[in-house]
Amino acid sequence: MTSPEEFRPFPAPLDVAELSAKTADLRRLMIEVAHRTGGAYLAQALSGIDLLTAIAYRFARGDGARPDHPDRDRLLLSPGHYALALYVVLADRGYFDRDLLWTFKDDGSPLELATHRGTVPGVEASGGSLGQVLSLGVGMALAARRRGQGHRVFVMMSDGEQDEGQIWEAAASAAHYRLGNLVATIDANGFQVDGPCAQVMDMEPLADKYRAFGWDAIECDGNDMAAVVGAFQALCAPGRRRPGIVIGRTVRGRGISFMEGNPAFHYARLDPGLRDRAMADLEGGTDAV
Amino acid sequence: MTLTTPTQSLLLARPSAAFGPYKQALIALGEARDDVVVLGADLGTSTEIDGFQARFPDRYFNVGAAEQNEIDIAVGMSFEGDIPFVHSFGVFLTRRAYEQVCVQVAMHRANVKLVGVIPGLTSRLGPTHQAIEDLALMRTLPGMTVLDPADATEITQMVPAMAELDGPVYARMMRREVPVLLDPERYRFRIGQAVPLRSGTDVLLVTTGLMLGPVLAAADLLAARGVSAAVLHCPTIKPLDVPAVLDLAATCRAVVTAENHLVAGGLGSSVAEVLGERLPLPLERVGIRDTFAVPGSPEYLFARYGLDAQGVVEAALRAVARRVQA
Repeated sequence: MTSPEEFRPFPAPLDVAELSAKTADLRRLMIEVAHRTGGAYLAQALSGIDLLTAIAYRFARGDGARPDHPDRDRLLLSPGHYALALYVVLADRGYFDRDLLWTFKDDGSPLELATHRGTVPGVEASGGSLGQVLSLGVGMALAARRRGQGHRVFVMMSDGEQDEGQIWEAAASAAHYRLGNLVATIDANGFQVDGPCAQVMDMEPLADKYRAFGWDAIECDGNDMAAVVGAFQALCAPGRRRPGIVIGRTVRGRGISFMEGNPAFHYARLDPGLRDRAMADLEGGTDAV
Repeated sequence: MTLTTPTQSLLLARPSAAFGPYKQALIALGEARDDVVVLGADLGTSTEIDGFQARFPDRYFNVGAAEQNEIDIAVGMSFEGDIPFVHSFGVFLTRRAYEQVCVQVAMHRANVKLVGVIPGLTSRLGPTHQAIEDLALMRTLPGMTVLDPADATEITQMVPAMAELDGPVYARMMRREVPVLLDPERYRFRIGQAVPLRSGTDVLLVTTGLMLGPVLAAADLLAARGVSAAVLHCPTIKPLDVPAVLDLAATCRAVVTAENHLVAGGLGSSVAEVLGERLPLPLERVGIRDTFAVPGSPEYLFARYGLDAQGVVEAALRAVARRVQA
């Protein structure tokens, strides 16, 4: 028997096969929300959902029934435009009523186009302005250590926002303070608003840059669940004294054949025909992804 | 005309000076509350947080010369229940990190206290270091409390009051030798409360921060010329004590504001907004006009830009003359 007050961070952490099935479910849910609510920033939500799923269903301890529990791991989304990906995860994990998803970006809905702290449980940061949330994560990790708390702080970033100078202030401070309780990830889908990152502002090699700043950095295929889980597992080992970052190489629109690499779907509106094609791509779960 | 009023006793008969009142107040706060943490940006001694550092090293974080990171780290700490006091020179907290202050501190009503040292024309390093528009920048942010203390007595009482208030605060801070004008035995600082220091019937002088001394001197000079000046001290720029301003303005029918800041956006603008909406009266604003200041000693600069007793007297005479014409 468990009391309502008890903190139950996971029903059970998912293994790689279960995580892969979960991302397929979440992709279908995002497609359905985008279809029913008139559109969403889907390209990046689809590229980053595997990284986010791995964190939320395996590594970050959280309980939708106890969203403010002090022992929870903090999961911070930096690029607020990935909102839909976070919302479907939170809804699926019981942070709020799943039906709220169909109000996505309606006037007056708490599910805004970009994430803002205080709107729904589980959204712990406001990410509409890029490049700031890693600093918040540093502050939270410092506060946790000062209080002797054992939880981790996870920060999900995009590659485009690595242009922001504040990211590198934060990166330096995280290593300086030896924040082994801070684990970041970059959804490196290679694109920012004005085009390919390599053309707009080339910040590569990102892994070498983070290593030079004192981080442990692991690059992997960010849409390959086994690789993603392996990378986070290494960086979530106990007793670490360096911040860690998973740089996940991903594909925009991943999982939907007509969206992959197609800039027309940066902000996607899906009519019934496109929705059905997308769902057909996702049939069979992991095999189609 | 009488110069002696009940509230005049809030002022010391003989003004003096104190050294480093903020440094001592911050240490006292650290002793009183273990949820207070202190952040600095490579200006530890210059912002007088080195005493706190020595006393509470586990609650002191020097993030280097990186104010944007400093402020957002503090916001992250505040989300975990800490009360961060964040330090740099006022220019760097407000100009350089304005967006961080806006969308992380103000937007979340984060319990972060921003302490901007060397206000207005008190820096010798010229316009890069002179915070002359910080009050304007901070005042326009929704929910931000904005403070500009006048002396060491006020600083000593302001620091614990900042920690008591649940919400974001920007406070200007003086360092090293700071005047003592208010009687620590009688004066009680409260956020949002303006303090009548002198009553009068011709012109109301509204002052904040370091202008208190010159304004009190100006009131004496005006009295010698037969002009009765009331003095209202406003250590809280926002929220402005509107009832106090209106009550005293109504007794005088002309108003002068004085601040160590641009005339745009700070105390003068705040009072003008209130008077314009509620009690239109002749108004003169003493402060820096639409210009950056040159480098120099505070004494030289305050005189050069008219932030002195003479400047206040001239403004008061202009305001009173306009009243007579009207």
